Amino acid sequence: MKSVASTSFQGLILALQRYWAEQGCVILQPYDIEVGAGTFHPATALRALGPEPWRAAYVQPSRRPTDGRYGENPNRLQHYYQLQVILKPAPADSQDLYLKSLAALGIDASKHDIRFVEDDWESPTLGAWGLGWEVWLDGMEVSQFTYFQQVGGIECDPVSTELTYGLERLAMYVQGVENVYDLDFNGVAGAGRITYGDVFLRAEREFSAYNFERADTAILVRHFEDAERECNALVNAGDENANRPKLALPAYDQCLKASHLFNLLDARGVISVTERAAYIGRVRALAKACCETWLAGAGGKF
Amino acid sequence: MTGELLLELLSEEIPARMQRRAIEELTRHLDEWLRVHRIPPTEPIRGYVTARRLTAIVNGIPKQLPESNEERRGPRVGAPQQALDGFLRSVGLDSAEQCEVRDTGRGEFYFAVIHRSGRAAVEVLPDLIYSTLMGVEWPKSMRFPAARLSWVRPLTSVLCLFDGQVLPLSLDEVPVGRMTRGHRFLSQGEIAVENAADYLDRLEAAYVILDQDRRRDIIAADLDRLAQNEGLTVKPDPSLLEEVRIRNISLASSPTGRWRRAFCSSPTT
Repeated sequence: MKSVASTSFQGLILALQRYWAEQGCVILQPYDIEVGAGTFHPATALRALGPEPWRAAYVQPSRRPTDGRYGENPNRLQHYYQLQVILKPAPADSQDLYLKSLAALGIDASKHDIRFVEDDWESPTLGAWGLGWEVWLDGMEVSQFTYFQQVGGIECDPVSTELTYGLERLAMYVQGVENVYDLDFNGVAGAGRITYGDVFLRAEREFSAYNFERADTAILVRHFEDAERECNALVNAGDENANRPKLALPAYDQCLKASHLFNLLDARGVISVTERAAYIGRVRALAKACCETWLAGAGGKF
Repeated sequence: MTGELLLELLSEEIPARMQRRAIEELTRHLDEWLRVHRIPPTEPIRGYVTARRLTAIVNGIPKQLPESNEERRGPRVGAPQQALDGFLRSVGLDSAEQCEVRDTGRGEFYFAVIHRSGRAAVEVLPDLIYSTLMGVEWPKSMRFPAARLSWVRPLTSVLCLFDGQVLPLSLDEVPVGRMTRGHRFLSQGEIAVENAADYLDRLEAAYVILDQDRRRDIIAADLDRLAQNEGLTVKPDPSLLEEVRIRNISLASSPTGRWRRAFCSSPTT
């Protein structure tokens, strides 16, 4: 029997981090810019490119403004956590490594129905796609498993394995809880007990209101344009001779900001269908330029 | 003298919607290539598919490609040079001197005699199988580090036996040999296989019923038996049974369950 502490929300995170550290991953911290998914962290999006081996794992908050439900829906959040693993090149035993990580959480594969169900991943804004599965645990999706084929429109060579655990889903399953806000966060009994709702319910309510009602769309549009301009300036205006090289990582930060601003505009409902496609195209162009700059600078001055 | 070919492509989970077409493609291409190499099997190819494997079992493949002389009639002597050149190219000869000239009674014609020496089937099978794999078309396929070949998901291993001997097929770093694996969760480790009959037995012992028709029959029989025991009637659903036959299962067993009546209607708005 697992102790309560180890099935707590933070206990699951610690167990997964420990497991992936043992597989030779560097354990990173969340990236400090709003992103829609762990894939956008430069440790995945940029490091998936180029020939260098790379193994990393980290928790990443995912901000999805349109998914907010004012704290009233037991399953939907505008801010939730993913635990992201990137293994490059994709090891031949990727699936076994993943299944062993479930075992490390106390999930016995011989007692549960675990399935790899076709789910090909793509991110239009990142210009990325891969083939893989969603992993079902007794009929519920708990992870995404992808073999990256392209990022920023560039072929991944070698191909990487990307694993994404939906931490709240997994914790709800492990704890047998029906409402995300009832999750045991810290595994402490009695007065010191902290639930997911204690930590995040107010944030869900306030950010839902901000995302859907209050965010100033004129400011968002302006900030989007600023981020786009800054990103382009950093990837285009480089002058190697004047010792002003292109700056892939700062440019990519601006790309991430533009992406999140677009998501906020989308949540505010001020973007028409055609505008939407145009915005996605603009973010993709930034991502592509950042990826190319990243690759071109590999092994260079920095 | 004929031999038995056993080919199994063990991979990570094949999307359910692609499984049936994949095994059809594999057996069709294999059959075509066997004919191209003039070793057509005397029996139809048997194809099997589970979530993780495509298997072809071929009985009656000639062990020896026959030695042959084929005669091809070319253009009439004195025909335009262009016609003669085209004919020479088509039979793989360099000049008209390599042809015989014969009078057929309706004039003199060039004849080419194409000699094909007899070869052992094992010499052509590896390339033939590689060509077969290259020919399988997936709705979406991917690259993976172990091989240059694109496949629907990474290949785990390839079992490739002709008359019990491992064929020297090369797929970069994908292991090729006489090893397979059983059910992902109910069976552990690798299994060495001697031939097709042994393969089917060992898989079944490792919780994989390979033959999709047998899986369907087991499920259908179970349904009837369970219904009789419980005094129920089975609502026939051939398309569901067909989906179960092919789909993401390699075992067949049927439990009974119940829904509470309250869950048997949809909420109204």
